Amino acid sequence: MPRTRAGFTLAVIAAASLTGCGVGGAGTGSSQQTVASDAPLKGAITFQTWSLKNDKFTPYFTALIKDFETQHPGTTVNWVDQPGDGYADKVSSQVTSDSLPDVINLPQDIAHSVAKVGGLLDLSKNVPTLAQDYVHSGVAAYTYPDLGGDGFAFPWYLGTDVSFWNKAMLQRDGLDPAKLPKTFDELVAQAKVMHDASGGKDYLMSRPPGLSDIVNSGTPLMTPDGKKFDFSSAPAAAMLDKYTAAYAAGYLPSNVLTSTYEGNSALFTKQEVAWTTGGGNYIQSTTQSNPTLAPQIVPSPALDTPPLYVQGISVAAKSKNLPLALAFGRFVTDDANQKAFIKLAPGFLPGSAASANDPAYSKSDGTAQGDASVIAYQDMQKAVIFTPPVWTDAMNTFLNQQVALAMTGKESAKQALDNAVSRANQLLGQ
Amino acid sequence: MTALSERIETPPAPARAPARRPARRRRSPVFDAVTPLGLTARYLTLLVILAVTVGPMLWELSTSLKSVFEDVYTATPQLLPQRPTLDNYSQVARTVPIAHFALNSVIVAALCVGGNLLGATAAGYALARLHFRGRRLMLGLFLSTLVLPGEVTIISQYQTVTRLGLGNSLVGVALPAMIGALNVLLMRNAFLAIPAEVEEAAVIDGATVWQRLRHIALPSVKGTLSVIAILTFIGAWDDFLWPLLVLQSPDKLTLTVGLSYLQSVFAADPRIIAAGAMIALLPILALFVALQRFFFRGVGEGAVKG
Repeated sequence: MPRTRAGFTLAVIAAASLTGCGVGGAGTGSSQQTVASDAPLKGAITFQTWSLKNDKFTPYFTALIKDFETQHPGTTVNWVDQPGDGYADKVSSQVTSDSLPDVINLPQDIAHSVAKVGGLLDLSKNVPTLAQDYVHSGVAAYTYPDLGGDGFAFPWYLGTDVSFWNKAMLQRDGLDPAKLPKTFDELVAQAKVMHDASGGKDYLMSRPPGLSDIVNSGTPLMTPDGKKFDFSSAPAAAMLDKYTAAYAAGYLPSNVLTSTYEGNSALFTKQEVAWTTGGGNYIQSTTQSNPTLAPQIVPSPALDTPPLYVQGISVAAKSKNLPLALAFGRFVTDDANQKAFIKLAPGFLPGSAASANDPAYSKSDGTAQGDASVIAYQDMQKAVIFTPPVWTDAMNTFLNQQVALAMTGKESAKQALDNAVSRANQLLGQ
Repeated sequence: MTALSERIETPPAPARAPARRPARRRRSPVFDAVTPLGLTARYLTLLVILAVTVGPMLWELSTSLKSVFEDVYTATPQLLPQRPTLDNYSQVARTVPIAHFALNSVIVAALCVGGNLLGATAAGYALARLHFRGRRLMLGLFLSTLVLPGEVTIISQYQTVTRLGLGNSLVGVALPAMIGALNVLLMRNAFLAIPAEVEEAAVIDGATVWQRLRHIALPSVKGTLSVIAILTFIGAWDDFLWPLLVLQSPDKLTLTVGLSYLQSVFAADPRIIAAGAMIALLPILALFVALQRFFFRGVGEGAVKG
């Protein structure tokens, strides 16, 4: 619900500022300007992070900023942190009131809406080595073909999904934790074993299909020119049919299609479901909420292609001190600082090219959390971003409704996908 | 809030039943007679509703008291913590300056409550009792603003407040909520419920508008005033999005915004979040307990004028 609203306000702003600004993009504050690289660094800037001010990360940022200020005497960096909730709304209010901080931590979708109104500096114009210095998937995430810019952020930290299994539940129902499913078909087969052995009480699967499953069936979401959705294919329909059959056989909890569905990770922590996907740090965070469950968790690579989550550091196009902002943005995302950051965030990977290939990330310390971090590192190599920036919550809600209709047998898989495509295209045109 | 209203309404139910007995012959005997079975059914229903409404709050309370060795999410929730601890509360106090944030919230809530009590009374009385040109138009305008969802106006409202130079200030947070259109309408209805003859008599006695408002109208609408005070207080206290947008500097945050720092991407301990939620809940409970006698009178007041 809050996300829907955020998307909506951003859209309103985008519309308002587009009509308001017209063709005035040429002067100062343009996203395509180049910044003199030899300008002396002095003055003050503001640096905004998202939900990183706490016992764990505050010392890191204080030290980071102090480091920078010592290296460049006469500069000041003011650090602000925004709470996790309502970030899209907060950023949009900063955009409208021209108070966007000089250096900002933005995820890929929020960055897109800010870049759309010309709020972010196109880094490829100012950092010639952007493509070599940072991991390819990270740079690609902030390249928006519809806006004609290549790289609106320095890739910072990257995350992906890993599969997590409840060892005790698997063993109770006669499944071998050493032979975990690797494909969707194996998953369904083991879900059947678990269902039959527990008399329908335990579940392995607890996630209705979504956009990622459509992509994993080999179907591109959009037409090659990126202008329209086109994902109603035979393989996607076949995938949906498999889910429908599994649902009808009782391998998924019946409430996954209703609003009472709590999500697979909530059901996993309640130990009603033996499989979930989660970020590389899932075991660590479960240790906090459910200490007795954490030792039971076995990680394994994600089924099919894993999703990629990116956080980036952007520079505001309207910053009053662009040379300093640009320098600080590069400083935060350089090798050494990214490595130090990831030490605090196990299961995530740095976005700088040199540190991403560090062999240290492919060695586990022997704990389950260490294994999960290594699996996350391996998953990351082939992870892709499933959700295009133009995909909205309204489209997602409609897709979920159609999927629910198909899985309860009220319409065919083909029909459901066709409806979702036409509705998404209709929303896209608005 | 609904949780409490259920709880407080519970006791009078059995007491009322015997008092009504003489009138029974006119009513359906099945409905009014208190058979042991009916009594049990009533209490069971009330207990179910009590569990549904108070349950989540109790769960939150129990979570906030649980130690780090105990599971929070289980298929069969344990309401009693095995090893109760207050560590989570001290952790909250260590992480965020709770007293300072609470003070900010109190300032905002006090401004909103004060603004609404004064503004809604004045506007409501004018709309109910004074005759002036454009009164109906004014009423229509008040009604029409109720139709606009807040999400649509929030960004333009934000721009207005920053242009006024009130960005990043507590006054800026309170200002848009200082008169609620709904509260004006509530007050208008409350004033309309007072028989017009009473005021006409006062007019004949030579009372001015201010005297009529002060000595005749106001004493009869205390209930509605307390309803408005409580609802406005809760609204201002709980609001998250608006103060998040307006406030920039960390020392000016209100409690709800400040407490959200307890939850982060990399570390979200549900026990500490629950402890923060309990702290935020206390002032609302205190206010409600203090005003609840007036509150239920107020709910009735609105209903009489059908």
